[in-house]
Amino acid sequence: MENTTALINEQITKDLLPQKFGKRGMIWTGALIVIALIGAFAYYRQLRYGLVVTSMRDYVSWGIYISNFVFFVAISLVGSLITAVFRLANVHWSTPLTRIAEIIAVSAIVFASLIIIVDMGRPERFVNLFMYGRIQSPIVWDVIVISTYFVISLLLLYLPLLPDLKILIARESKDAKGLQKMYRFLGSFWKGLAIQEKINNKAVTILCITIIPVAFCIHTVTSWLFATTYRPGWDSTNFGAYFISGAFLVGAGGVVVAMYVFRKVYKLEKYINEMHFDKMGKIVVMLALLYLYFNVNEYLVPAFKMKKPEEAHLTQLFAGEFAPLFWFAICVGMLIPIAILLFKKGRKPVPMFVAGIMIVIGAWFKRYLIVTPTLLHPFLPMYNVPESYHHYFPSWEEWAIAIGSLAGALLVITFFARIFPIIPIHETIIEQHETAE
Amino acid sequence: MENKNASRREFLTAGMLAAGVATGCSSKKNPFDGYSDSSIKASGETVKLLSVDGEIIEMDKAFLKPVPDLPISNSEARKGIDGKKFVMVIDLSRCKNVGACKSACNHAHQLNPGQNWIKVLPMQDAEHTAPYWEPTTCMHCDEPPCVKVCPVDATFKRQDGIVLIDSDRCIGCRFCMAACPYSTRVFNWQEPILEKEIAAQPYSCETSMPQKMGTVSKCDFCPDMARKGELPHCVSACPNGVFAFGDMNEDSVTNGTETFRFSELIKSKAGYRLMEDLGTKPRVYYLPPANRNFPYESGLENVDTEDKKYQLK
Amino acid sequence: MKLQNNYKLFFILITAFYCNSIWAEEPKPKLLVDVGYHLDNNTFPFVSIFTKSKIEKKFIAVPNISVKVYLGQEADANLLGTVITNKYGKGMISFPVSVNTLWDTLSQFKLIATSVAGKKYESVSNEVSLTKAKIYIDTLWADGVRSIAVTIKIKSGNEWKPVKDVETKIVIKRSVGNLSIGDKETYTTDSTGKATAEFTKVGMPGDAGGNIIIVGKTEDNELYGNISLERKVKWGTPLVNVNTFDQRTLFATRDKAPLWLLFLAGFIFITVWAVIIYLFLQIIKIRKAGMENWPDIA
Ligand code: SF4
Ligand code: SF4
Repeated sequence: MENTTALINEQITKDLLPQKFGKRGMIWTGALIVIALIGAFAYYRQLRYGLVVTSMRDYVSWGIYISNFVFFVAISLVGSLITAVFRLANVHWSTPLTRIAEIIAVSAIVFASLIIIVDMGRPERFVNLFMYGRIQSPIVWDVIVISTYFVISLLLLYLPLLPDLKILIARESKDAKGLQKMYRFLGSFWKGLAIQEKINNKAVTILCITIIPVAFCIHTVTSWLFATTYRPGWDSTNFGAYFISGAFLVGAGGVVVAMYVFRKVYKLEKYINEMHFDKMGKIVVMLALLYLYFNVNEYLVPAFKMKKPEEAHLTQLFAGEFAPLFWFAICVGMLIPIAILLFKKGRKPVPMFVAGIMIVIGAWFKRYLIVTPTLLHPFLPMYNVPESYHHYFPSWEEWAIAIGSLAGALLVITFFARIFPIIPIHETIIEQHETAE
Repeated sequence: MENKNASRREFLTAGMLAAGVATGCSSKKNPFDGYSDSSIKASGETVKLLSVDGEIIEMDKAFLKPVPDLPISNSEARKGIDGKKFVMVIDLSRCKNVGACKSACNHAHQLNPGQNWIKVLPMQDAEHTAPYWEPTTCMHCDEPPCVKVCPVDATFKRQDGIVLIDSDRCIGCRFCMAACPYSTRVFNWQEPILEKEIAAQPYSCETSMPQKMGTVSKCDFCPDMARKGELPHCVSACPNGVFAFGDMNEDSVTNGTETFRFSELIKSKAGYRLMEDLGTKPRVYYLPPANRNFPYESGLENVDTEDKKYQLK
Repeated sequence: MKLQNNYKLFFILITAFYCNSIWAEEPKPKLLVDVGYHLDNNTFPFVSIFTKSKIEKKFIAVPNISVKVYLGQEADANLLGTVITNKYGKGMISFPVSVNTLWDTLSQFKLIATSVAGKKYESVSNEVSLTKAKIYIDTLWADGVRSIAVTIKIKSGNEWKPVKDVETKIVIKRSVGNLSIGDKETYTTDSTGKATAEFTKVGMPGDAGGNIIIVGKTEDNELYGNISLERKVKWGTPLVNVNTFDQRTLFATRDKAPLWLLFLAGFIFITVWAVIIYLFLQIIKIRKAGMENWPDIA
């Protein structure tokens, strides 16, 4: 018995340890780096010539940078959902997913803050936010809440990592010197003592409780960047809840995609199995339905009244210039995934992966639709401005930066998976034992 | 530093006496007569002074007075002029889209092509109502949504009612542009094209010049002109007297040739403000386009296509 | 040598072009000089100058022109001074002490303004001939109605005589345009030299004490120039300047944030960060526990 336990442990550890990039890994990483570098070059051009390199103009003063920002903030919420909610609810099947969720959260929040700086006309004056910050402004709330969420997410990533660090340190010989140094720096004090375990568990529980309201705050405040203005389509009391439900959906979709990819690449079929997909599928369906419900609220109620300022906006969405994109986002982001995932057969890994991708893509365009069409429908007519101000289609620099930032976020996740076990080893072992007993 | 500047300013003031009197001098129609204090009595005591042009001038001491045309410190510019409540009345019945307001403003503030602080909009409220021309400026709202959202106090409300922008502070987040329901704010998407001497000046919130790349700008009610006792550029440029500018605390507004009692004007002509329902409390009042001086169509020939064609690079 | 010749030819050509372009030019715009005579509060005469030019049927101010102003005749002894117009084309000059004796003897006078010839404009001259006049203000009160009477007197010999048919303005002084005190824009003097205006702008805000300044004046009068007189009267309502600038509002500056917001935001911030700090302390605790047991490894 003793022996088999040790063997099983050894096997799990071996399976889950971070692995060197294979050929595919190299190509993937290289491609991401190239895309990110193109984005960096585009940003260099923007710094040099000003925001004129974008297609944003006086009416559409926020473009895909901001929708990308909202997307990042949305997807980062998933960390709190998977980790905190499940942990508090004592759901055990989600253990292998927690670290995936957390690293998505951390990298997304990092890039959310970067993209906000990219959007600024005067990035070098970022310090003004701290020197002259005005508590009345929702932007300042956002800055505060995002940095708080970032710290909490990091903690939530770090604390459960401690026992795994011990395992990593123990396999000293097999790793590069630099990595070992880092592991030691981060976790050499973790000895797995009972007292340490106790403190750690308590800390994680506290974290899980704290992160939920903070996560709600970060996305609610982000929605307030829009809802505190008078613009048609933004002027809604429903916006916080609408954004949060959307965020949970895209986050869950993102986790499904990541689950599938890691499982495939790292051969983790044993640890992330069909049961996980099935359960995640059910959750995604529930979230998609919830988001659909908020969408109905968000569009049907104003459409019923058709107030004058809203009219142009809504007709453009439903049947005008933005209609193809709008219905694409609704169908691909919600309806089709719901249709797939409602069935047991749809909750198998492959269809789940497809649904997850659809959700993420649909969500990205949904954010775009939230930001841009509204700005093209101001209260007073667009007049005395150049013709080009009447439309918006992102310039290549904007695309490059937006896509580059997405690549950057993926890069962070990739490197993280290279350095740390993407599935918690220690917890999986414990779990294994509990189920065995 | 500020103190030093102040004393330097006083010194300059004395030195620039000749110019100073010239500034104070009223043209016959100076609408801000109140600023040039004509109650000075000759003291009989004369002083010799060097004019800006190197000439020696003899002058009665009583005429020495500060020149208002000097740079205002940032903190002064943020407070505004005490005891004033600036207000504007735009008479829609007189507008035929001449566009003189726009070009005077653009010229005075060195706005780049494609930028307009004043827009003259062709409006038609409903299908069967009559169209009219509506010049819009910044409304200098008393509860300005743009100021509410600014994260760094770069745009601010002054005690004299004016809403200004500090382009040395602005981080270019453009939240204020999204928040302003009147779409009045413009952004410097690229390095603004400026005359050399203007570009070399230090930025002043009151002149809104020189503009800076990556910051926001908008109509400023020309507080620099008000300090000098003159009307905003749009007001004096309009040949039809559409704009009237004044001080609510004095209950009067003027378009340069006519002066009205503000309260009476608003009452007799049923003045109103734009988008009252939003609660922004604008400081710009409109008089309805009733009993018009010109038919709407007469403005169509002035429709400006220049701006439309312009492309930022 | 050849090269030099070439240069010469080139030079000649250029010069020819240059001259050509000058000859082809429109006739030079002509400079115009306006002269105005001002007397404020019957004390201090001064002269205003406005240099302008007519371009495309519009008057455009011409800045930086030196204008010599003379009293009576163009002689050095009669020079009041030289004015250089500012960027709005305006300039002004007061009478120097040296002409005081001459001035006192005159009852009719001539003001001559001559611009100094410059690169762009030739010298032009303009003059005005005026009669010395004075203005007086009286306040009247009859049947509960307030009025202002303005009297204009002109100098004839050693006396001051009332004069009729002078158009006057009787206004309340405002920083933004002067508002007529009555219902008419102008009032004309009768045979006693008097123009009376009824004060109908009841309730105009004055200063904190309710004082308003009434101004009687002639404007651009062909015979008398611009003469004006001020009189402070207590006919206004005291000004109550409602200044909400220092209130704590959502649109105030950062140091004037509403208290409820400060407390709410502060409370949330402190609570959350207290937890975060507590968690960091926990990490330190874990660290300590680890080090105490295997101090050698650490
Ligand atoms: S009109 Fe717009 S920019 Fe001007 S004060 Fe009001 S909200 Fe601000
Ligand atoms: S763009 Fe400038 S003025 Fe406008 S909200 Fe941002 S910092 Fe303030």
